[in-house]
Amino acid sequence: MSESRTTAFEEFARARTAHLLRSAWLLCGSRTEAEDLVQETLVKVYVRMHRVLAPALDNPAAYAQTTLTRTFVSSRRKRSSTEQPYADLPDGALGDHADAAALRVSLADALAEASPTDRAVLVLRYLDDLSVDEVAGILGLSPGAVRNRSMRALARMRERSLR
Amino acid sequence: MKDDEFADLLDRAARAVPVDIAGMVTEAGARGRRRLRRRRAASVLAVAGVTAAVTLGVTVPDWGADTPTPVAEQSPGFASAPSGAASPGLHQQPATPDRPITIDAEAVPQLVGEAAGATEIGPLLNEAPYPLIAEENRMILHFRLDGTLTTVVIEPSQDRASCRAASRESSAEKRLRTTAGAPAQPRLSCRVVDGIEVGAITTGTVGSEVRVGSATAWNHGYRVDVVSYNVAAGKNPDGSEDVPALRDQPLVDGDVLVELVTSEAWFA
Repeated sequence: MSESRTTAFEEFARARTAHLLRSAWLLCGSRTEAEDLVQETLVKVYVRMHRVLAPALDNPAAYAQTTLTRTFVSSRRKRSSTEQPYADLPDGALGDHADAAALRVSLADALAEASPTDRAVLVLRYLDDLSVDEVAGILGLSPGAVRNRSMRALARMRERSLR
Repeated sequence: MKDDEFADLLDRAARAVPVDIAGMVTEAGARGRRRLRRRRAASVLAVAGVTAAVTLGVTVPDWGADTPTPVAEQSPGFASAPSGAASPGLHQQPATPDRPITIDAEAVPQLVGEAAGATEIGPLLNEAPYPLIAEENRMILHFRLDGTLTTVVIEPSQDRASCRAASRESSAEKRLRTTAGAPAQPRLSCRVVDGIEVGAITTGTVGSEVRVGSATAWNHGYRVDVVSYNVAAGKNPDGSEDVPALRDQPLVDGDVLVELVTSEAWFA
């Protein structure tokens, strides 16, 4: 039974790690931190999948996304006073076009100014394309709070540099 | 910038992040296995090292009696003391069962055996001193896994409504026993697992080689006990007590015991 769970985990992780890392990079702004976050998420998924008697996960992808987001928000709460600027961008991103690179820098800067929860709202809403209700469930917020945070954060980003 | 343009921007920026998928999956699997091992080791240590512990009468058979006494026939020794302040994260438990036991008794040995990694899963025992009771609100089952005795008891918690109440009462009993010079009994510790109170793992040495591991959870108005031994029975057929140990420790270890007693499988 344990072997089949391990196989299921590996299949899931191979299919989902790239997407998780993209979310994590947008949340953390640092590739190193993003990889750590994804590792921690995958470890939690592994442990959950190997829990004795626990029912099988209906939607491992959703479980992983929720775990990743909550782990990120929780970790930022713990170290909010020592949070570092959001500046470590992936090498060679978006090709060689100067406009694209500038846009990427603007995006990173703008996200860096958002609170961790606002970042999570933006990533879940616009990268993962989740509904307001789904985001509210993951972050433990009301749907109204998610709408407000989403609109406010997006407006701030528009004002700042992403015009 | 419109919403869909922002979504596209996020997607394009994020797609540029290089990923070593194989490496991350391998590392995550290795770390997951280590974490599982650590958790299980911690459970075993908890068994041996609990300091704020009290006697757990319900899970230990009376190995010294003239006839082998099944676990379920023992007086629990838990008191009806008030439960006191709730622990953080503890789900409020009903005073009486809020649902029936739905698991098929015949399925229980397989369920527990698979959870414990047993290779030989025996049938339910139904002969003295191992009664088989499978009712809507009460279940007492005995069976052998890899030859070792295993007992599952699910009963309405009634006046033994919480681990904390049991702990306080048992502490008083322990003081009396200590004063009287009575031998130490196996121990109970209380903790909250996923909102469920677990009157946790005990390991007792009863007789020269006998080891007992058990856990108790208070859930849905029931007390769910799972007990595992490292022997096939409490006594030999001739009544002698030098039963041979089949393993160093009980087959079902602490982590699995907790998973079992807190499981919804009994009521699903």
